Amino acid sequence: MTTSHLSADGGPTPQTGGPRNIFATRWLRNILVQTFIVGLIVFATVYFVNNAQVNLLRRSGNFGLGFMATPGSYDPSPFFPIPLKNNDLVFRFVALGYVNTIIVSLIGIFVATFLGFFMGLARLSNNWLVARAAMVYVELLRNIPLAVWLLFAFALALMLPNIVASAPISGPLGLSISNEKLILPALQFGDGVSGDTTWLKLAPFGWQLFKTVSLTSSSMGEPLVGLLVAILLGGGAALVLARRDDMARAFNDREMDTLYVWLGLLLVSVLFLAIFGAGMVIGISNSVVFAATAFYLLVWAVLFVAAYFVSSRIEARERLHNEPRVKAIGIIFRSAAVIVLLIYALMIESSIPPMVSWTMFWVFIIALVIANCIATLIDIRAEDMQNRTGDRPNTLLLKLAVFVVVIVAIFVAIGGPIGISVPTPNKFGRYTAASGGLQIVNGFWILVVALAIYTSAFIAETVRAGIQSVDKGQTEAANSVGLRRGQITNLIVIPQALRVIIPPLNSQYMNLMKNSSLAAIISFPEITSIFHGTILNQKGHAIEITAIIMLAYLTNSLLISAVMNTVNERVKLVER
Amino acid sequence: MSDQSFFRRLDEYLPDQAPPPGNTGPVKWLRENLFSGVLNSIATVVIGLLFIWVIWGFFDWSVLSSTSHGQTQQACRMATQATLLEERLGSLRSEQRRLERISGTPGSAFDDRRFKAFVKNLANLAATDIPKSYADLLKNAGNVEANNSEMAKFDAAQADRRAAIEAWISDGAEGEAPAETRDPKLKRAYEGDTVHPHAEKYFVDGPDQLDWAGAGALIASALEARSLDPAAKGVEQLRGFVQWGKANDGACHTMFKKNYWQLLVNAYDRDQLWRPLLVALLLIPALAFVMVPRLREGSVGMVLGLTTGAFPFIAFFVLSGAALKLTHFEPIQGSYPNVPIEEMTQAQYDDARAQVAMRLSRESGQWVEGQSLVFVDQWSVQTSQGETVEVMAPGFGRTLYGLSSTFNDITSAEMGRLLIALAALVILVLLGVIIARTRLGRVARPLLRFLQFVMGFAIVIAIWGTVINNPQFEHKRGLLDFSPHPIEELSVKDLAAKYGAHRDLGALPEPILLTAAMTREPASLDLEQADQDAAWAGYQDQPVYDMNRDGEIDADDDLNADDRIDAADLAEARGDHAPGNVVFLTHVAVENTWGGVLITMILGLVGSAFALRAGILLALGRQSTLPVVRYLSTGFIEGMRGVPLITILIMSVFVLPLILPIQFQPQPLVATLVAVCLFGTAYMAEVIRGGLQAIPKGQYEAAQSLGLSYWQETNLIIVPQATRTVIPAIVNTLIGLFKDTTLVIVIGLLDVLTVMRNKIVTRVEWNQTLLEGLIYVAVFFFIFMFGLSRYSMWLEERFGILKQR
Repeated sequence: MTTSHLSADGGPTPQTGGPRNIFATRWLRNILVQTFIVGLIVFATVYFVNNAQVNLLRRSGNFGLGFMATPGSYDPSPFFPIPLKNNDLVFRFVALGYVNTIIVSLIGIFVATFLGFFMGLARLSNNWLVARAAMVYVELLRNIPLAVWLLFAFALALMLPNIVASAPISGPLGLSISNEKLILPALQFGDGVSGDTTWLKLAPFGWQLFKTVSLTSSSMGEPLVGLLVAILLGGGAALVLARRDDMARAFNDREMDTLYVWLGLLLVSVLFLAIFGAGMVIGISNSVVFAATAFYLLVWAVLFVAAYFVSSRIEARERLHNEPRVKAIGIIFRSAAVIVLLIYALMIESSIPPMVSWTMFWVFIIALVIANCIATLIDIRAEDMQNRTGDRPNTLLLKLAVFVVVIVAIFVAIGGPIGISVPTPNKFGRYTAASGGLQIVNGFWILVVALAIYTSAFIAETVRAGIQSVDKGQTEAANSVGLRRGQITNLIVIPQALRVIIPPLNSQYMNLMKNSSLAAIISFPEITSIFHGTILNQKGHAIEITAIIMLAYLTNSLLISAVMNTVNERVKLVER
Repeated sequence: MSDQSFFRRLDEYLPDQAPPPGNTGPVKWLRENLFSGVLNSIATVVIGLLFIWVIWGFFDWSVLSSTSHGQTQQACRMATQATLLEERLGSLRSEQRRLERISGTPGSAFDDRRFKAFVKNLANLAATDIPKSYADLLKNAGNVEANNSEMAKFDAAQADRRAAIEAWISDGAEGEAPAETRDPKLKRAYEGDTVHPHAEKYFVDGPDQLDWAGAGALIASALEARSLDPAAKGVEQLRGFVQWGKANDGACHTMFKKNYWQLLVNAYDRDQLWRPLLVALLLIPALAFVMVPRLREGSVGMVLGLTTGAFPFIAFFVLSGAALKLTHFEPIQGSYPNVPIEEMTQAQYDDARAQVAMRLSRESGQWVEGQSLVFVDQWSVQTSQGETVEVMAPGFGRTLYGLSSTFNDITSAEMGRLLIALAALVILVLLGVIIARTRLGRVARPLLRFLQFVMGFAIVIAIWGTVINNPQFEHKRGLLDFSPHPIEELSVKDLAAKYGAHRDLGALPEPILLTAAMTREPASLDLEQADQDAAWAGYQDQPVYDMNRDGEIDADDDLNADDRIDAADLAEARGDHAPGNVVFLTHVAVENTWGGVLITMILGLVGSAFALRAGILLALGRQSTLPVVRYLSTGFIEGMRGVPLITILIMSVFVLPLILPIQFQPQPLVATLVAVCLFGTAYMAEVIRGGLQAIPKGQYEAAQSLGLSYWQETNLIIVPQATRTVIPAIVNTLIGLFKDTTLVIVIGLLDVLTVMRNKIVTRVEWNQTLLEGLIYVAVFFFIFMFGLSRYSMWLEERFGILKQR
């Protein structure tokens, strides 16, 4: 918008007489200014690097990522049951932290969205008291720092019964909560062999089609390395490939810069991790494992990229020709791509003790694919009908039913072993060393709850603003057409409000993800707290560690942005 | 006629009937707003009950039962006392272990005074608390009359006991009463103990093993045997209280009874209070400039603008502790600063000389064993090598003094830095004049303001470099620099020789922290010992200095005197038995000893002042046609916005010292300021970019058609409109920035939250009042942030932004 006052063609501005000033030549001036800036930055970089070298020498420190492959010392008190030894490699702790960050962010985003929408609607309620209550909720949360809320929740959790001194509050199926952890019964797929688990046989008459094959973790290579790199590669590829077609439409010229910068940052982070991975391969004794991991990675990445690429091509073509059948193929390919990523992510977690029997997992995936294909066919039929009659049948329930029926049917067909793992205290009745179930350290749910509630206040404000931005005439028009109240909300108000809501929602999600770094003050093992709290103290290497943390968050931010931009594409107003 | 009767006069009309009661007044309001439907009614009832529940709960918690969360106030108090007792016992034990290691014989005697303090504590618990419980006892017993006589008896017994204990202690203070005469007195006090008959009833659901008589006897025998083990058993008897109290949520929570106002200024260092107050005073003109548009014009505006621009730096300078230390412009003459040398006694003179030597070796390494010192005047001594050395206390005064009297002392580098600072100051003032007076100033205001900031930074950095490069200020370097500075490497014999004369390290003007006593060789590194020493000092991470100054740790002064680390102990501990050991004494940066709301304000205000200005530049940069500028700005903004503030804080605190030359090592406060400024700038730039994009293209075109240059157009047409449009968003960003300053908890800067959590609540007498502290902090933030958001709404209305839609 501001471009117009400077001619971009670099032509000289009109001279008003007098001696010819070199700075009056616009293109020359531009070049000089930019050269100066680049020079300044190069100089600063050299200066800082030089200082860093001197300072590191003085402190007899060294630079490099070698420390990541050395054993660290940390008691992860895991939420996510990744089996880590106390003196495992630093990198694995970091990966644990990263996984925890992602899990906390995802759950937090999920809860915050629902809570935020609810509160946003409540603020607009006709009921005076409800509206005021929602206002108090929002204002209290918005105006007090998250750190205070976190500490508050932490202090409250410390008041729960002591896990050592007294019995925790406990419920049915081994559910219990104490000042240390929350223990839940967990659902397990499996073969019904595992010891601690109470098995619910869903289909006692089923056929045992598949033999249970249990893969050991060693055959899967270093799984956590894989998870990190897969997320990065996959996200990057998704961003690059899926967005390419839309780019011209989705971004105007200015915003293309933003995109390039993002892509640049992403590329840097991927390269960084790739180089780092190579360093790991070289630096670690069991390089065979790493080579295998790298190979797996490559295969899966290629598969994913290919599937996604094909799907986006197909969808582009569909958009041109409006052929539902082509679209169907596109959808199938895309779901395949997502499933490939999912498989990989979970395969990586195969070292988790007996949560998932491998065969069961494959079966589940196949069921998903089949259900997805059938759902796609239903969509095609609906679209055909719409083309013919102008009336689109409601397919949502049907598709849902298909998913449920297919998955349940396949489960039943193979014998349906699904179990509930009931946590049991150890033989002294202590819950500190309970076995089975899902054991969650309090820090995890404190963090999730605090983040979700805190962010929900902001989302509520966003939602309120979005709904208020819908013109009152819309509601009145809908009323005069004779729509019911629920219909007005669902068909008229919300779709229009979403256009306003989604963009700020993106930054709220990013904020939530970034705020998860506050786990450092309640010692939940999330990437910042692991790195900054533990590894920095043990190993030093401030620059490298900070860089890695920043890259991790940057990658997450970019992924969230990518997803939200896609959503935004869907809901935004199609202009003439 | 009769048809006339059809018409009526106005006053013959029937009066308006009152609307049905359900349609008027509050009932109507209730019906419309609260009970307009079944669902609404249910919601109203549920929410109303919720409100009542929460508000009543809070009221009950904070007012009605605010002294005790447990069953009784008295039990709660006793639990606290017993906790304290346990801690003291632990401290005594480590002391005993230490002495045993030194002497090589187990069970050796320990410091009498220390032990007595412990006993006195016991006495407090035993003698003071039980009579206090009488009112409660009576209530429980329900029979006042019948209990009167028993009460009197019990009271008397308690009074006897207390007197006996105090007598014993005062005997001990005089020191030399033989054990057999003083200890039985105490023992008798316990033997005669009668537990009140109702006490057991009273403590019916308390610990069943509570046995006062038994505990008393054990403690008495502990005194007899001069051994800790029976005492420990006695404490064990009392531990029931602790556990019982804790099991009943029993810590005292005294919401409205604690001095949480301390958070507002400072938990600790009351001598430094003038600093935040001065900063608060300086804030007034700065805020006036920002808030009152009329004040921005004319020469008043110039002055105020300068103040605003310079505020962050002045504030930093004042708060960072080194500047304006002229109050400490006094020579070190031992602990006799007010006695002129001529009037000193020989002992005082020797003592002073020893301290000077200590300081010399610490600060400049100029002290060599065997040198003799002669005071030249109050500020310098002459060594036997003929060198004259200044021995002034560290502080800015040292530099000023050096400037005014002996230019020779200042190195050329120092001089250069000071000159740079001077030049920067001149430029800063000139820029202010340009901004206020010239056309260029009107046109290029953001750029010039930014340059002003840069100049301000230059001043600070230059003077800071001067200060910090001086060996005297070695100890003021980064608090978070974890590599221990061997500021002082003295053999313990030296230490004892030079320092032993003056026993209390804590009396030194600078806070001293015994971080760890380590040996030079890793092979003989005795970490356990170091730990124990730290535990013995009682406070692993806190300056001994503060411990002594704080009257609240314990009411009696004896104890505080005992808790000091004294050099004789140190010498005993290591000098004689472990020759060649080296003691590292590390100083705590002054910065760390103050904090509270003011640091929150400083971080937030400096951050927003910087962010507002730099944000405009960055937003313009992002819109620029020059690709380098555009990509750099975009990269900076997106990069900063993509990562959490915590990582940026960590980066500046840990990485900044690495990439800066050693002369310019930033303090944690500076590093934090840098981080907050950069972070705020990125967000502000995005907000302002929104404003820039909202400006219709016609404005640009109109400006160009008038022949305005880029900067004219930007500053006169675009930026004013853009900022006006986004005022609410700007205020929201500022609110976010203020809230985010709490994150400095991660890097240990003492903002209001950290002071509350790390300094106040963790102390014994604030036992487990974290929730109350958090509520206080929350209320503080809520008032400020809510006020700010209302202010932004008011601005919104005033500028008519809402009406535009």
